[in-house]
Amino acid sequence: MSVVVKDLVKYYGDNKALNGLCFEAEKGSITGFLGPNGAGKTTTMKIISGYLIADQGAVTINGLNLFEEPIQGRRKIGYLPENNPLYPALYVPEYLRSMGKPYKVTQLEKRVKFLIERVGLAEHQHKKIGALSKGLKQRVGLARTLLHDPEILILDEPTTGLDPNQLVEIRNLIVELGQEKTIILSTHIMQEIQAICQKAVVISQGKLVANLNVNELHTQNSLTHIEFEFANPIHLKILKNLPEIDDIQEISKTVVKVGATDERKAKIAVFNAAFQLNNPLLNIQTIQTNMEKVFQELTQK
Amino acid sequence: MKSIFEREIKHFFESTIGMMVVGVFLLTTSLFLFVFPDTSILTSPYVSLDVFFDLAPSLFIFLIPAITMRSIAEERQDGTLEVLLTQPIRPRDLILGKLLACWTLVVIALAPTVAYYITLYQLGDPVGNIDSGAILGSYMGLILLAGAYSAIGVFASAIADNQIGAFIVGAFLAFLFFYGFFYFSLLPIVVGRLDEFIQMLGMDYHYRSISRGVVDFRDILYFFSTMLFFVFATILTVEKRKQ
Repeated sequence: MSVVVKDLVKYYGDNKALNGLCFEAEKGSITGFLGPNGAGKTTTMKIISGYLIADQGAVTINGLNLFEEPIQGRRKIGYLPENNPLYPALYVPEYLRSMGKPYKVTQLEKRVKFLIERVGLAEHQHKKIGALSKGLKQRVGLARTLLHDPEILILDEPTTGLDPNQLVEIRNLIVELGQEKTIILSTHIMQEIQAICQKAVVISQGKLVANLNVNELHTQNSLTHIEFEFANPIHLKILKNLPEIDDIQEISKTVVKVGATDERKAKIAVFNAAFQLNNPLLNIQTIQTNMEKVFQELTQK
Repeated sequence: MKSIFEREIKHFFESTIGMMVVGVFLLTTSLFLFVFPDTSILTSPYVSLDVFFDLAPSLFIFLIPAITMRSIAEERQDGTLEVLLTQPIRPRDLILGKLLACWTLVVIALAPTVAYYITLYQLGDPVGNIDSGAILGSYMGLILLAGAYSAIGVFASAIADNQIGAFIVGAFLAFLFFYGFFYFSLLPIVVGRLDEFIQMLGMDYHYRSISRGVVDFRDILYFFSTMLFFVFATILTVEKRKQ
């Protein structure tokens, strides 16, 4: 089950919010939707969910055109809007039952029970939604999107405003769900993309600017930086002569930071040099490229 | 539609607004019927509920928009409308569910007023000397009127950005449809038989006609087509806002 977004154009009055946006998301993967504020992330998600109508373009789910078959399409999608709107006066199971009815879920009662367990709300099901913490509310929202067991989940900034513990819990839940579903998740937190997404779609001013594989993200851009710690003081000159190393910096007498295009070859070369010098290596650490930097480079055009 | 109807009804009974509207309605009508000397039936030489049936449409102009004002405006403000519209629900079902819930609440508010009828029945000399047919017709008229006001109120809630706006627009439209057309027909520019035609556009005309105890199919049709018109306008408004 894959989602294909093609040439989406959306105007708000004279303002062009989306300008021919194209991207794809595949089953069993979490696609991070990245972009500065106002880039069109929420607009795109609202269009995929069926709440907004695009002026041009198409969204297809495994060949099913969402604009032509809206009701059928909505049965395949679970959508969690940005601020997770709920009815605070209802109890958790009552809310889920009520929201499940339009989907004509068979054995709704059972499904609600299962979902309450699944998202870890069992202890809190006798409370009104208004009395829950933000993290728990987010779980209620997630449970609601899962009522009809949709193949696609659209989550608009699902971790915003959560404390670090809640953040980890919700992320883990999303990763678990991502194994069987197609998830599109928007965020402006780079670490989140690195932590849970396999793919990142970067948009700016309503257009696609990059379609990245998250694992390749830090190698794609110039040099990889590696920190080496030696047991004894080391002379930079000796390492500088190694052909595998493009750049070298002294951090302290025993620690150097090396820049290289091929991380693996550089590590082997430094290791061998250390062995020959009889200066044992204590620590080798690859420094992740700053995601914010990549993001800035891509979106500031 | 059913899930929306149930959620709305539950909300009315759990929140204070539903009970407040029912309470204010019953209190006001009781005061006019039994306490205020000018209108009290206890001092009147005739046994009739006319005071009640004259008063109710005016009270409804304020009370029904108070019930309906939140129906769509609140869902839009809270963002829950966004969730509802991404479910496989047609806007038609959403709006009908809301309308039926509001209408039901008004009918519930009317139910205790049957006590007024029983009181009057006992007060008659001889007992039971009362035009029951006209009263039954008046109730029917009042229920139909409440349905039309509810449809107007839900429409106002769809076009307004917030609940206060929805209340003001709803009350104004209800006033316009009940009294407005009658007063327009009195303008000096209205000549010939045009005045009757304009009056027929207003609810007042049809409400009075039913209240006489003569149930005319055209009066019933009028109320239902008014409701249908506003339901349709509401659907268009909700759809338009998606673009």
